[in-house]
Amino acid sequence: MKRGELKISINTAWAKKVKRGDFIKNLEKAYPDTDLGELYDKIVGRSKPAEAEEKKV
Amino acid sequence: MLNELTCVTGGGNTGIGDCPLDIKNMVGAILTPSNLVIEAADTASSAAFLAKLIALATAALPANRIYPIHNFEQITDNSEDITIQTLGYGGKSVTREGDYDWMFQFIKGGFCLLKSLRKFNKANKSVFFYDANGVVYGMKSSTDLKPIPLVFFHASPPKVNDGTNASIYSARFVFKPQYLADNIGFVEMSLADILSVEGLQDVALTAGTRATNVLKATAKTGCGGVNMYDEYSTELAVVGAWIAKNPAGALLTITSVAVDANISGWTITLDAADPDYSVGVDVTLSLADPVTLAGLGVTGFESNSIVIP
Repeated sequence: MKRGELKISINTAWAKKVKRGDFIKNLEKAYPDTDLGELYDKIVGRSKPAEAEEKKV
Repeated sequence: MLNELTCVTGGGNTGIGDCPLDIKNMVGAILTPSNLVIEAADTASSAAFLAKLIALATAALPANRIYPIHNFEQITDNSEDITIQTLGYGGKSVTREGDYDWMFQFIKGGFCLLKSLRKFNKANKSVFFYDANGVVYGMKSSTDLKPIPLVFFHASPPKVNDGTNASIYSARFVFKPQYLADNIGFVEMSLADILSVEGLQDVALTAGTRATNVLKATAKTGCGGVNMYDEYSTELAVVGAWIAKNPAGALLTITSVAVDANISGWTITLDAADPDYSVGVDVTLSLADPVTLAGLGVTGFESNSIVIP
């Protein structure tokens, strides 16, 4: 499955409570081909901090 | 008061107006909880009554729900005649009236409907009937409408098609005559409106593979076996459409839901960090209640619960 093809319903209340890494860890088994980091950033309404976090890693 | 009887000295006035109630053939019934009361505000108009019936038909709790049975094809009236005692000198006395005993045959819904109705065979239910004009009959209690208490309801085992006669699926209603004859309460509806009050369909979930906190499930209608994915893949691919619990009944947080076209079902992911969740815990999965599902565009369904080990 290509990236962006899958529509995922996310529990946004949960997503806004968890850290980006935990979000990805929780969902990566279910959606291995999806850019979960980008999805998280969209939900919590940020873009640049995500990149920063990735750089740190 | 002491030594005084309450006697009716007159009968009822026998004049007839221009618009008498004429009960037509009964073409449907609605099984209800025995304690149901429809208050005056809900019978103030046919629209209000219809809204009330629809809400009751999709009530989240089965105990509060009403169960419509439409499309009766014929009635076998087994009602007992009045019992008359003939006395020694030839005089006669009416000792009692017999119960109404109506058996209705239906075709639409067939075995699936009959199977569901048989689950009410020993239940304490009451009933509304409606006739071919769409008039709904119950009993009047002050300004309220109540369903008619049943002595019993029974859906018999089917009689099979013999090559000449269609298979017989039937529902039998036995009740005291005074409810209809003396305490009748009715609301005039259109037949189309009353037919729009539909019963829920069962949905049977089937568990797919599970990878720790990632569950897979498919859903088919209970008796017909129609795959819900075909019509509701998107509507059910939302977090609010599903409920997950641990063996103690605690709700587990669902973090995401997505369609899985490979199994014609859905992927449901749980929050592995939820304190009520632990790796390997049995998960009880179901769809949300009928009201929630209706809000998501999945109207008229109630699912079973499955345990996913």
